[in-house]
Amino acid sequence: MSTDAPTLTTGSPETTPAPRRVALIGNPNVGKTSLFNRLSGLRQKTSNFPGTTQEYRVARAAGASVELIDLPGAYTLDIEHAESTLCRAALMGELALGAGQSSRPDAVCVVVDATRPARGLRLVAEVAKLGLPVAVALNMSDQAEREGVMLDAPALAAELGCPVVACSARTGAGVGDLTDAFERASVVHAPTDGPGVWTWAERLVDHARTGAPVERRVRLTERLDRVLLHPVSGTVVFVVVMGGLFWTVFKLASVPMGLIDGVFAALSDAVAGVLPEGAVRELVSEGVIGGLGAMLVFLPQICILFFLIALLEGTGYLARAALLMDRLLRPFGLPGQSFVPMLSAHACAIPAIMSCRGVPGRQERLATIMVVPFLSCSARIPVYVLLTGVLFHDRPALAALAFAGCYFLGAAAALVSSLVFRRTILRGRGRPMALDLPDYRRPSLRAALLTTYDRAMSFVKKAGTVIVAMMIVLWWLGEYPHAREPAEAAAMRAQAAAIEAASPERAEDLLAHADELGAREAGRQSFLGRLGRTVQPVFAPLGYDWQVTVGVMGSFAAREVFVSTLAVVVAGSDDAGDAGVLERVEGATRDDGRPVLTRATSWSLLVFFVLAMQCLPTLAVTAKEAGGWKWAMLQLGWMSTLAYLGALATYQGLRAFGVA
Amino acid sequence: MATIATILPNADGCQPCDGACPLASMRRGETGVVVDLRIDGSDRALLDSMGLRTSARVRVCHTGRTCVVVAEGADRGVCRLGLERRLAERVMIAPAGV
Repeated sequence: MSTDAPTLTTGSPETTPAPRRVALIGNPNVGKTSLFNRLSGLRQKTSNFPGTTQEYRVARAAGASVELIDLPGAYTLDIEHAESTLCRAALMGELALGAGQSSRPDAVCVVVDATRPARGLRLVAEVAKLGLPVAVALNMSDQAEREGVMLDAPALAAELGCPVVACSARTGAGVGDLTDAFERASVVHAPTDGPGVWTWAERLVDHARTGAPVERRVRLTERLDRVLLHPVSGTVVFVVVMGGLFWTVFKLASVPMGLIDGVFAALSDAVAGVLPEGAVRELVSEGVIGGLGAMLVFLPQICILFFLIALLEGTGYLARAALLMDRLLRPFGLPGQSFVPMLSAHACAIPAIMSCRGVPGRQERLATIMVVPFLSCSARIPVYVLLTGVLFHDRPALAALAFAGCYFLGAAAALVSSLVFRRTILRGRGRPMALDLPDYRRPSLRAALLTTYDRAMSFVKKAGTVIVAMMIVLWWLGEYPHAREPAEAAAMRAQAAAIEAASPERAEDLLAHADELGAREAGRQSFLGRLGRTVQPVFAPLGYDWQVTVGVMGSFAAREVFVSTLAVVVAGSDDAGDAGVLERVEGATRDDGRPVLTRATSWSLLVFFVLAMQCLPTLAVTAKEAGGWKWAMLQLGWMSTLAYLGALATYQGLRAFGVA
Repeated sequence: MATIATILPNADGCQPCDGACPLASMRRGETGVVVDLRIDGSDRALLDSMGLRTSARVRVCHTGRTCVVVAEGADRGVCRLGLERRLAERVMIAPAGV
């Protein structure tokens, strides 16, 4: 499928030992990344442009003789949108790419959608202005052939004066010819003024066009659009599709998450059985393996979410859904594209923040990242269950209402926070909603799997390492220093030993009680416990005693830890799933004899957990995706402040009305 | 928040386009030619690069809170674009019928 075009070779492997650097550029959604994946296999490295959230990827291809640089999709190089600016800078040699050289690429491969070629050829003209050698990849040529809009690649190559390769990243057809085309890339001579460029591009297409378009796909797309963009039927379909997506992520992920939990628990036990007793054994079996498990447990949700999003994107539906949601989100400074992260945040904020890459515009993307953790994720559910259960013990309808209220409060806080950010530090004109709506088509399973793999690896390699380190530190704070067993517990053990033969059941009860006392004391004496007691005065206006404060402090690692931490601190057991333990948590008392969880305290805690940023892994991902720890710290500060003030107002307000 | 644009005069300095109407006021199935984009700066350049440019033939596929328009290059392929209404109100079309 390659062509014989007039060429101007700009280098050869014999004279240049370094790989030939080829930048891939193209309009959004022309299959550029799929082509990159085809050319490179999975031997790629994803990097962020310095100081930005835009990614580029580098990979070796053709037996390492070519270094491919995959740039962000852009319609034009001539505007000041982030992706256009970055593509322009990369092509001008103003950015250090790949091996670190700040030099212009040796050639540029412009990926053109063969079904809509004029727009891609317009981009060829913009690259030509920079004087770089060009090769054109006519991607989706198989689809263009089916639609009767095939281009004659040799004729186009002759007109352009550079190699043109008809290919399909989906099937792999013609992709092998691209390496040769990179070698033969040539400088194209094209008009430089606006209207002249379109005329030039359309003339090229007219000359190279073979066949007449088939209307079938267009008619199908327009029929589907009548339903999917209709205010009523479109909204119904949107709710069903997005509800299904959320449900699938939520439900399907629970099985592998349970498996990961089980495997790491077994691994921890196995390692503990092999290593000699001591600090090293505890560090490896509980700290390192526990930390790895705590990081990898997010992978199923990440993989399932990105696989489903990639499939939906492949069908062309996501662009329609963004258009539908734009009107709802726009008053809060967010574009329609923010709905995918906001919805998926109800499963887990980590994949949700990673999916913010689909939000165009820097300010809007950052605003979405900053507010997504307000939406109630699955980790909050155990806390909501405990607290709504305490508040409405025998009234499940009211408990359910309070439960739903938590979700509503989180969504409201996210939207209001977005408005605040967009009117202050992230002020700036949002991009108007102008979306390219691709024809509906069957999604590529291969492309969806590659996207999923890419996102999963990105999480494990970058955010994952930080998460493991954080979890190890938090484990250490909660475990050390080891406390001496209280005298009362030691006495119980002695008594149990004495009566074991005569009354084994009584002895077992005594040992269990001694374990509880020991665990409570260990929690109290640990660094985390000491920290909790030290900062308790800060939380006193919210109605929290030192035990609840330790639970809150521990839950800054992960929210779900709150219930088990509270179970340890007030009930001496870490089995939060034990109904007896939960009853003891509900009935636990403070040092002054009052209940730990009064009605006012429970409401205050509920508000606090809806609004607070209590997930270190989320902060690590925010830092990575937003482009620095300052954003993660701002997110932590903003959410913690809102949570504190919300919980304070709730507790003091309820007390003022006599609820205590 | 987003403000779309300053309204620009035509290339010849005239404000209105005789017989032209905003894209947002057209009905589904109607066709026409883009005679003016009353949008400035990068938004105008973006729409142009997406295929919605002066002299482009367009067909309205969907109207309402958002507009879907097909910018037709006839045998050069079509670009189907979804536009928010505020943007569609600033794209002036010389109607050519249904």
